[in-house]
Amino acid sequence: MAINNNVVKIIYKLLNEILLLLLLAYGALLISDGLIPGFVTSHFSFLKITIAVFIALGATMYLGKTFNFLHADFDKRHSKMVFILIVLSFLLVGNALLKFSLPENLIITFTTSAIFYYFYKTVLGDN
Amino acid sequence: MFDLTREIKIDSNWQKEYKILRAFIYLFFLVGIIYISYTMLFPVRSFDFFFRTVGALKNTIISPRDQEGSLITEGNLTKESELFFDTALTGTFSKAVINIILEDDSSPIENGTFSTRKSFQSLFYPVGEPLGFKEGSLIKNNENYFIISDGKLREFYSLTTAKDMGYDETAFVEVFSEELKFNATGSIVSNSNTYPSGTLFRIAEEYYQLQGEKLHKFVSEQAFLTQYNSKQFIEKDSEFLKSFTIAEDFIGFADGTLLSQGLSGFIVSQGKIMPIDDFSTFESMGFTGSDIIAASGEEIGIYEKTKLFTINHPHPDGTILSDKNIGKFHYISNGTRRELVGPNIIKSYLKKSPIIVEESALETIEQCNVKKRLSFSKKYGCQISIEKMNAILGNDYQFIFKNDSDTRIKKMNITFKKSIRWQNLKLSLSEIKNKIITNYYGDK
Repeated sequence: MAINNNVVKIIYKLLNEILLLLLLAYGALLISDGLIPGFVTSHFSFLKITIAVFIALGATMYLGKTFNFLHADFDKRHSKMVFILIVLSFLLVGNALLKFSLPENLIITFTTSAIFYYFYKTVLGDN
Repeated sequence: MFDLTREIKIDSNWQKEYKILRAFIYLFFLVGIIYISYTMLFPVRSFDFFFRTVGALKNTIISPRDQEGSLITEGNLTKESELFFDTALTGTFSKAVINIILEDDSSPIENGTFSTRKSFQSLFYPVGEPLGFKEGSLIKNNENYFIISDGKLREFYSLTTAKDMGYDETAFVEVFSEELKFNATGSIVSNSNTYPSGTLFRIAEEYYQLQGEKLHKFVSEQAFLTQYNSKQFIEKDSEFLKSFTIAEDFIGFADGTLLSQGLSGFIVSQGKIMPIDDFSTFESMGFTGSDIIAASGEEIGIYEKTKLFTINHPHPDGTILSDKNIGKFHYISNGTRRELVGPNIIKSYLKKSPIIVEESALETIEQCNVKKRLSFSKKYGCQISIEKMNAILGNDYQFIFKNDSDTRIKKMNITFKKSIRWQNLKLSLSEIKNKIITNYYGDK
């Protein structure tokens, strides 16, 4: 039982590492494709890495729930990672907006900001 | 090293296994980064053709044909024939690896060779007859005054005749005698009441050209100016229109003109308009951004929209090529290159930047001898070094295959590769930098 428990813990910890590395790679590829549209997608399919991320995420969540590894004390509001993700998202969206005209930019920015605010309130809020 | 799941503790006797596995994962990730970087910095481009399915979209090799230009459909190649085909791509590469697979019942390849040269598809066209002055041109030589009418050189009986018809004396361009011989000689214009075909008019701020018995209207002044200059028309009033039948179709822009509407780019040729698929195609074709004309819906609307213009297409009719070394100009027309001999003939057509080419590149040929890949297989191939061709202007590699036996080809594959070298790495990084600059600042 102790052997199995340690094996499961090791697998869970490694899955977390794999998930982080996949997400870092995904982010880097997104940024690269944002800088040079089509440069990454002409060599790689984002679908493959997306599937890999979902598999890793699914496996992590399954193991976490089954063996009670998941913790609910993650501080979403003060997490540096959440802050970094939000900044990165705005940079990626902003980069995509460069080719639009000013009125189009204003409409898209307003709509995107509203969606982000609703997301923040719903997912990251107290309830 | 940081631990993402600090709260989950592993027994101490399992720590070693955990650390080893963790190291493997990071090593695997590092190898992955190196592989991805290698793929992006030393990209490989592969092209195929399957002779059993010649119309399939998976065929990326352009037009396998014989020396007469006839498409080879079943893969049958006699020993007397040569197989020509093209691949269009951008970027710099070190070698082309060519593989050819024969049908099971085909005779083997004997003394087969592949050769390649690089340029634009249009520069590989055969040279046709030199082109004379453009229709409607007004020219003079030694006090003789001419108009190009229905492609022919028609002399005015006298300058007075021309003036009586409304032609502006200053509109006639002095040309060299040698330039006159490229248009066939037509009849003399002696009747000042009968305008020769090709004559240009401006009536109530709109432009027309007489073609046969009908007046054809230019869709806009902008379209007129891509073909002729502002002195070449005769000014008339609206009453003049009653003397002719007005044709239903409009005259548009000069063949080879680049147009834009919103974010879309087009190229005009032979009464049709082709949307350009992306900026990479535009750039690789040698087009210049400053030549793009913003067109209105009405101007675009007179054209029949045809298929997408991609990197696999040759320059369309109306494109003018200019050799950067010897200064020759060629006009693309019906699968041939027709030389524009004489500075005034060139001026009658050239209203925008020509495509810069290198005719000397046609003599730069690299070759390899075909060998069997495996003893009992039907797969043959060889490798050609194309490093020397990187500096040549063009986006097309033309290949020629010859051999001494009758064969039936099933499939061909060409893979362009870059050697792993410091110089190639610098080139790749430079290409990436240029792409980023182009993405944010446009073509300079």
